[in-house]
Amino acid sequence: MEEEYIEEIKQEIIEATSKCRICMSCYADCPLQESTRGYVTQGPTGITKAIYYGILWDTLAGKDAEELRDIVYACTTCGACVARCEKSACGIKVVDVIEAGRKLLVEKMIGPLPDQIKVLESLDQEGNPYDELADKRTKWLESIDKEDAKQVKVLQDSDTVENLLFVGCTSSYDRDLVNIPGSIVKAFNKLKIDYGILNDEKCCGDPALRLGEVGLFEDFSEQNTERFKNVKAKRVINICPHGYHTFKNNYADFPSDLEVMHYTEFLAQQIDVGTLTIKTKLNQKVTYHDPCYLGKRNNSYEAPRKILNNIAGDNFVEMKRNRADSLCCGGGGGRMFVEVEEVDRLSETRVRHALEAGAEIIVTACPWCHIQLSDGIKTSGNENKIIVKDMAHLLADCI
Amino acid sequence: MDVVVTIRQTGILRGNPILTADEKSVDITKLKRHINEWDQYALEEALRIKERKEAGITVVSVGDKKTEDAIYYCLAAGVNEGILIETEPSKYLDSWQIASLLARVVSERPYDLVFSGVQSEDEGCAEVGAILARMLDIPLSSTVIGIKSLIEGGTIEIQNELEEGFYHIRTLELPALITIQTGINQPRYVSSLRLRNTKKKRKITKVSPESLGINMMELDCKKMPKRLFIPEFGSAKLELIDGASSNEKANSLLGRLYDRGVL
Amino acid sequence: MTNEMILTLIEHRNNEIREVSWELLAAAENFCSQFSLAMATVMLGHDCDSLINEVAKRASILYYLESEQLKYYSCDRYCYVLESLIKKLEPRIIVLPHTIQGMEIGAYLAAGLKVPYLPDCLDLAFESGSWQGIRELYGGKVKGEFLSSSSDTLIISLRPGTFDYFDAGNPEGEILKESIDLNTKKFMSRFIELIQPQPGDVDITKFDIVVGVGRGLGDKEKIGLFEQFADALGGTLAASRPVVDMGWLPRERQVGQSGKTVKPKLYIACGISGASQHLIGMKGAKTIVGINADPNAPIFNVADFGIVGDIFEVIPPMIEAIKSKTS
Repeated sequence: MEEEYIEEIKQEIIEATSKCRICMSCYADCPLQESTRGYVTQGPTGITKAIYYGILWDTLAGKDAEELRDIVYACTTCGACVARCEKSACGIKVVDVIEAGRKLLVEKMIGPLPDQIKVLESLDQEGNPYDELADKRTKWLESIDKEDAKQVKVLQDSDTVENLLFVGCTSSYDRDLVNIPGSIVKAFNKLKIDYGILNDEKCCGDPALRLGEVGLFEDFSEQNTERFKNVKAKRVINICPHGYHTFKNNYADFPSDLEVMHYTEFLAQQIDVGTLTIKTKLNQKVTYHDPCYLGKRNNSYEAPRKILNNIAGDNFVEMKRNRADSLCCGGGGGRMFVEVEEVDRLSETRVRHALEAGAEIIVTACPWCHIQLSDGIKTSGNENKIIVKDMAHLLADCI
Repeated sequence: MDVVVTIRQTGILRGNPILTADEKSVDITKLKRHINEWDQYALEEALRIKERKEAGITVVSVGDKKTEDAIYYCLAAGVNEGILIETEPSKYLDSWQIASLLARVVSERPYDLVFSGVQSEDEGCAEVGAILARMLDIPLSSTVIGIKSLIEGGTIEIQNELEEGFYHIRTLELPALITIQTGINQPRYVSSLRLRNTKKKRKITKVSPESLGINMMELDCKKMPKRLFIPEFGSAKLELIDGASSNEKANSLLGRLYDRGVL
Repeated sequence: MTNEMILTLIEHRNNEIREVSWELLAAAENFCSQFSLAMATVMLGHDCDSLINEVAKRASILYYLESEQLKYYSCDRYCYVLESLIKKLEPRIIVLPHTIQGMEIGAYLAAGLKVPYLPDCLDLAFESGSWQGIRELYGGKVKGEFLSSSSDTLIISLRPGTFDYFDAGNPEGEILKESIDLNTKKFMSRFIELIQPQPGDVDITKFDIVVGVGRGLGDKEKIGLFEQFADALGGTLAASRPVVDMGWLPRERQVGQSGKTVKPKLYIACGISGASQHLIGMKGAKTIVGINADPNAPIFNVADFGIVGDIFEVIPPMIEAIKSKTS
């Protein structure tokens, strides 16, 4: 018999998975099926059943447990299975079960994957998963347009603002992506939005939660909630869909009067009310890759399309797999931090989809999708044919 | 089988070090702390022995009150007992003093094996393990990269890592002390919840040097810091390549390497 | 009261005198002039006559303690024999290399003799009545002057690669050989085997240009860029220990104290902080380049050229430029 709280996690999982009728509807939608050509016959229900039987037969030790760990941590948490189970079967929140399975593995000191341990340590010590210093988090302001940087309000403890721009770890620290927050603040400045960024922003906690480190996640959740309460903003605008999703769905005490929006939703709204007009049009063919944490997990498909249609008009082409049917880039669920075995890299497959649609630019609205797709373009040798841009990049040039 | 693991808690020094006013130590009051990296591997190795055989593991550490966190971490990871020899914060103790305190605690209990990390991240003297082995009068082997066999009441066969790809294999009669090298295993992750739970449910045994019969005024150190300093950046021969962009710096560097005939 | 002499331990392995021994002799000679002490060396082993003669070319007095049980290093036997010699000779300073064997001997010997020990020192001085060694802390981010508690006997281990080689030959030194019978003493350890280095798929010591990657790499997936860089330069890829411990590159590419020692024409350290354990393996390179985002990284203390910057921003343009130059 293990500690009480571990027994509770096991019970939670058993209850949720015992409803599964193994109808296997979820298999077809799972990106792992795509990236392993169906060879790894785990799939969503495979993973949850593996955890279920692992608990029931008490095989959570030794080599068996390591194999299980590798299976459970291969999931990207894209949520395609959840939508499918909801639509066609019994509505099990499959990804929640997989995350609970990870929580169990972490509590039993089997998880996460070895390369993810330092991610958790970095989160704990410096408030970001990239082993970067906490006090260098706002350094990106020095790399953007000086005029734009001057207008960014950096909120101290007692400052208040209408719109809190939550930059996120990746946009703050990734030197390749510095133009994402740079472009957003340029757009916000042009639109004269009342906004600010936190002087002491820390991770939203998503990587901790997806990796199963619930205790660490709760620390972030509590600290951020406290900080948001002080800022007294009307809304928090996220650059990264993972932060957006986590604030909306996973924070226990998120202030009910604080609206959460992804920046594409906010800017689409500005188009609706007429404050944002797109002046220049894009001449190249663009397609849009739906980030799972914006699309599949939060049903936010149309806002980015409204912006893109305005920018590109007829030059906007849809990939065959779009919206709820979009294919995960492979970066979520902690997979950004490790190398997962894939026969066909998800990112390369997605790049192929974009090329097949005739696009010269893949536009996305998630820093991790951006990184994954950039890598996918390089590793598939398509650097001369297509590039990735964030919605913000296009916008900044067009308003 | 009884295994004792001696650990040290060190400050995590990232960014610029700040020295104390007396310039005799690095100020760790504002730093986060963790178990010394080498000791994490030692702890994991002991836990693996516990998984393979019936073994009781005791963790001992010398440190101030904050060191409790490190010991709770070990308890959460699965050790049976945690002992803190509590000393004054900010008081410099050298390896001799630390080993003397550890020896007193270790020698008062039955043990088959004592593990320590090869060295610490902060001072890096690689001493405590060896001094402790000498004080306990047990065989020693350092920089162990693998345990090949372990026979209770008998011997331990270990592989030591040497320079340039060489290794030694030797056996030690138990009880023995080995110092563990990084890379010997993959240390497990102890979660925040697990740690919290452990802090609520488990107790650490705290002892003072006095209770061990040691008068700290009489326990002399064999070395002490006179003055620490932050080394000046670079050296006489360093040419720092500057530039407005990474591109420029890259091209400048290449230029200099071609100039020098290196490329 | 000690005798005014320095006793230096010679390290050998696999029938070769390890190079650090020559550095040590040079350092000890310096200390002899500095502190007006006489020089002596000691070597333990079995059947090492050719090695002994090699040492005697550079050392004025060499104590050779011979026993079959001393053929391979073991802490207990070595220290037992050394302690006996030290009690007889009463040297003022015992100089050891801070190698894997040396650091073990230093600590164990000091504990047995109950004398002060200054480990891993970069220099030695005598200040205000105490021996003073300069040491590094926190991987080189901090340096310190440490005093020994007594001005009498001192054991000190010196960091390899700090002192210059001893090149000049001296007149033949005096060899004082003593055969030791260790069979009557019970030792609690038994030597089994010396494992030779495995020939890997690649021998990084054979390349003129080596690109080293460290923790700054971030994760395994990013290696490709550095492979390209090494290829473009016509060199090979090497790694610091943490990179190998994490499984991102195989151990045969590890450079450092417990890895390989390389002496290429050019060593480019990318995202390597420069902890002493790594520096020991590449300090001998003719030209060293350090690229690191951390301006405090100790690698800059040994580099000829340095860029404080992001390796992922600096390396790609370098690859471009090299490719366009060679095409």
